[in-house]
Amino acid sequence: MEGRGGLHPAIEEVTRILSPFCASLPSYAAIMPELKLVYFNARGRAELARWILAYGNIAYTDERIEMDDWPEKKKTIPTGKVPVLMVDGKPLPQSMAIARYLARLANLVPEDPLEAAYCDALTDTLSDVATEGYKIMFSSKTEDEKKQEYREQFFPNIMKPVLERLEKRLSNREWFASQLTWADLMISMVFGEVHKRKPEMLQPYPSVVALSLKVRGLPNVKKWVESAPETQF
Amino acid sequence: MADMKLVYFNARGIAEIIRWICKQADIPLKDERFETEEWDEKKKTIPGGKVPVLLVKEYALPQSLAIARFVAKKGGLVPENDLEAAFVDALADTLYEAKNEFYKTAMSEKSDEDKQKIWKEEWLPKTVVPIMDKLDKRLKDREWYVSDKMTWGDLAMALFFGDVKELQTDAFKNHAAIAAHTAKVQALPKIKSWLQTRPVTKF
Repeated sequence: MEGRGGLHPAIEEVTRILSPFCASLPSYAAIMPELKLVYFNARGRAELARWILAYGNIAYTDERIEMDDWPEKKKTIPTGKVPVLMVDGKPLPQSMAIARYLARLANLVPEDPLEAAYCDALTDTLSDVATEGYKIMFSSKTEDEKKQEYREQFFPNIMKPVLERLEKRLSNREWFASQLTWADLMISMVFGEVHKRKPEMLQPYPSVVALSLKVRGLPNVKKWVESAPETQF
Repeated sequence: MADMKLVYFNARGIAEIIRWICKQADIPLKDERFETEEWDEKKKTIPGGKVPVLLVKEYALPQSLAIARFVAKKGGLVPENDLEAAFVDALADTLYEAKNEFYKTAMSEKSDEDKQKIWKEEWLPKTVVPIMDKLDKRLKDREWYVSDKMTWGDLAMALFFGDVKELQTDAFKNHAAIAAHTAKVQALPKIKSWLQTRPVTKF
């Protein structure tokens, strides 16, 4: 059924009937689908979805699986992979598809298709960066070897080119696009974390740091980041 | 509006979905290709240094799936419903990941014989068949992947499975619905024409 977002047809009907009386309600606050996010007890590839949900003040169940329980739990998940977002019981896989969908619900996707595409491109790029980072993190090298690889390979070859372009873009604009979008949330999520652990690496990129801290200062985001479970990755 | 320009290697690769969408939706697209030897020089002229890139107005949009989604939206091939659109995104991401694994082997130093072995004995059964099982089930009682009309998800599927069939001609012997869906999309006049006229490349 056509309509706003993924709302159940019956809910669409109720919303249509009530809307003359509730014109001031934000479109997404009316009624939401039932959402459950399933992932490991980690930030990883689910954290962007959690940030977006927190920003949008969207109710959901944050189901976390401990590594010991994973072999059993895996069998119950249709694609056998996480994260997966259960939307009214239907499984939506793929971290970026999940994040983009939630960003729409939270009004964090630009109306203009080209602007929206730029947000897609930026988030895909940061996702690629994360993939390279995870490769090192989960490799069988020693901790010292990993640190060396981050320092000598990952940071200069993978992260630095992205930072340089981002810094240029953000140096004379308030947000990545023409208003706050899920792209800003992902920038803050990724580089705010770098800033926590190795602030000196971001010294040449003050605009990236400023944006990261600004987003982390937004009330709903701040609340989430401060209350979220501390995990290794 | 001046034609958009797609810049990529002279290959199908991860840019091919963009070409299919533009052909099917009649979106004018300049299809700029360069040879591998030209890449080092070419790279310097591309903002971000990566391809594919879509040059539209004064902008350079990178990331194959961001580009695909953008042209699909232009061409009316993205579902109106946000959740359906998300399922198409998830499908495209899944097929992209699967193809990436294929390319990793393609770009490795192994012999052609070893590559074929890996693709047929590991990639197909371990990566592709589980995807096929799910999609075949879904297509048993529906015409298109999602909603009641064709979307870019259907194009992505036909592109992916068309390549799978090239690798192994009887790949769909247990997946009749996928065979039918792939054939149906490949028979669409504009896709059929593109398949017949496009440059023939290894990947």
